[in-house]
Amino acid sequence: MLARRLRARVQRPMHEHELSDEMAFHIDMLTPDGVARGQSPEEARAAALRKFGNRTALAEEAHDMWSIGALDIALRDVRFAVRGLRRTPVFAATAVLILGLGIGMATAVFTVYHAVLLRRLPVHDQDRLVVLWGTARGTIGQVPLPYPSYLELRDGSRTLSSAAAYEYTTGARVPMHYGGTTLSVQPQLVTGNFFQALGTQPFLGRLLRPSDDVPGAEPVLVLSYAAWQRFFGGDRNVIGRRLSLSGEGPALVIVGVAAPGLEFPAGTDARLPLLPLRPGAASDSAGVLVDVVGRLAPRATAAQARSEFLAVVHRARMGNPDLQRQFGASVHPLPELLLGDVRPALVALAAAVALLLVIACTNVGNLLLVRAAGRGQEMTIRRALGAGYAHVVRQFLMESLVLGVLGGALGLLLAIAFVRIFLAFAPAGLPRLDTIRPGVGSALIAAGITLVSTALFGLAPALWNAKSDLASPLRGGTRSSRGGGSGRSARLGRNALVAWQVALAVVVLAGAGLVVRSLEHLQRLDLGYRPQGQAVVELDWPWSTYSTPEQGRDPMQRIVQRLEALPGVIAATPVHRPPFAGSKGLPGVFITEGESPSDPHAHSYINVELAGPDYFRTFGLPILRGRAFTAADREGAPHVVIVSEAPAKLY
Amino acid sequence: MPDSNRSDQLLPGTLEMLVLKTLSLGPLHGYGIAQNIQLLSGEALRVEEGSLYPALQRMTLKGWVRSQWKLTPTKRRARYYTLTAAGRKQLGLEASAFERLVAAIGRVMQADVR
Repeated sequence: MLARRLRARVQRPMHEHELSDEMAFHIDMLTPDGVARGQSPEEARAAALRKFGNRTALAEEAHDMWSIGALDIALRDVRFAVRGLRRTPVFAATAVLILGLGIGMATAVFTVYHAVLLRRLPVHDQDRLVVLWGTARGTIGQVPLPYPSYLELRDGSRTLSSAAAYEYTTGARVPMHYGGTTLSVQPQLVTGNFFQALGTQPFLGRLLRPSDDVPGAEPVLVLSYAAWQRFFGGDRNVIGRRLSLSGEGPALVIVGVAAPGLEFPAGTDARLPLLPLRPGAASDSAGVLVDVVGRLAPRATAAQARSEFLAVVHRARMGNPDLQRQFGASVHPLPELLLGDVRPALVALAAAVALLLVIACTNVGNLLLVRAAGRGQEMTIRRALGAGYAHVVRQFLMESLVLGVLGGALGLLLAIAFVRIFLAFAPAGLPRLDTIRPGVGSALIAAGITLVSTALFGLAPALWNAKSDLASPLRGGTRSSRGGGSGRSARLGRNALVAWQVALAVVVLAGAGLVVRSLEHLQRLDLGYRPQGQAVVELDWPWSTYSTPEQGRDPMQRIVQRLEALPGVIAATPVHRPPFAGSKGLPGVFITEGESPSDPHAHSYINVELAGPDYFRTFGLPILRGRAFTAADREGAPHVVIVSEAPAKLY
Repeated sequence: MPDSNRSDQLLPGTLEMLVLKTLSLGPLHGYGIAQNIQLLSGEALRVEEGSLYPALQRMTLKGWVRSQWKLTPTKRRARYYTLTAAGRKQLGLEASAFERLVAAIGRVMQADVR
């Protein structure tokens, strides 16, 4: 029935036309009767018309039947509002522009916020997934778990219903050959049940299975979504292609692409099964170290998982109670690990943009109030002619709605542009960056924001103006000739709005100023070394083709010498890991002279970096005591280490 | 305004039923429906055009009739109305309700004693 009424409304002009044709036909049919009775054609027609009755009344009744009352009123209001706005184009343009900017920025930021923080990760029940690793007193570094201990955890855990592991790496990139080119890939070795524990589906192809994770299995590889986009441009034919590590072993077959957003540790490009590349991992002496990611059992808590993990960590160092005491464990929910770093920044951004939107709405609301002040007389006449209070309010709201819709449309276009700009400038490490896209979600967000904004800036002026005093505007006179909107209370109201806007603007400015100060501060922070003029060179060298360290030494020395010989280079040094690339140095144990490793005291864990003779010169680090490395500290000479201040203070 | 003293007035509410019944005998245009009712009732009932066309529009909106422009036997363009299945059903409902009403009135009028 409703559908028919809608259709009738839409086709109303046609219906009216047809009805008038119908009535004409009917009257024509009545006319011959008169002629038969001897009247002239004109008389007969007049008689027929009289007989037929009031055509106008009939047409009006039919018209009402084909109409939907509310719709017609609304359309009329919209037309009126548009006409009113066209009379003041500057006001309309200004209001639409302000709204467009505010709504556009808000939509852009909330699109990013939604894509990065709000959307669920492509895993099953993300809040039950945790990542566990060991910690050590006195260092921020992670203490990974030996692989055999992981097996113990996996098989015997009561708090984790499934436990997978990934190799603790220094995050170094590995060159891989594909076709004729070399790709710089950050690989991650994972256990076969890794993807199953996460409960995720592949984006393309398949994910790793336990059957891939046995020594001697064909080496396969699953690309991360980001790497697939970056290296292969999203080419769907990538499944089945092969990558090879520099000169070593059989080629790796790409079997699938993982869902977007699962790159942890940050920047992981590919996941490979652990055992084929580390066949002896299960034995204690192999030294394969892992971090654990697992799913909490139905009634287990993260704290319980941590305690169980800690017990395993301690059991791994049972012979060393002193060493044991320094070790702890930390548990991290997976969403926190992936997104936790950016949350504060995005929340701050969202808050700032929300404030800006409120400022914009207040601005437009104020403009509306000022505009309405000049229409007091018009409103009074309308009220006097019988327009109800609700009717007038509705009229104002319709104006606000028209402005809102126009502003929203402009805002959506601006939002798309803003998101593109954001993507161009966003930090590369932003999680799920590759999945931020203006889309249907953005349009919905924009619509929602528009509605809220319209209510904000439209309602108050509408209610205010409809209440204007009836008599005084018509009386004219100096004080209130322009209607209720220019009375003293109205002026106070508008001043309050302006004050409110200024206050908000000050808040936003203060916040922005603080952020700029912090950034500046960070840039001038004393890092302890001179970072200016430093460059990191990643080498794609077939190190693994050398069977002893000595063979690698010559080429390395030659490379360093050639680099140092370049004009403008003061010093160069090989490093295991560049600074500020994470807390992933090599794990080491500090033993005082005269004690043996099993001596039960004064043993402590420290993070170790390997370096060449020019390490300190390259970084500009001052030596506080003793000496720096020299070329003499090489094969055959006693092993030397240089410690930083913290361990030196401890001992 | 219809004169309520005229003996050829339709009972209120029966117009639609009469139109539906007329159309159940075959499609007709508006003029034809009015003529038909007049004829079949032996000139006792006369349809006001001012009520007929709004009634036809109402019945179209409710889905009881549908219409189509066709040529009359005299080659003039007219709008013919046809009964729909829903209209047929409605006719049945209204007819039985009317009969019940008439029977009830009759029972009252034929009472001899109170």
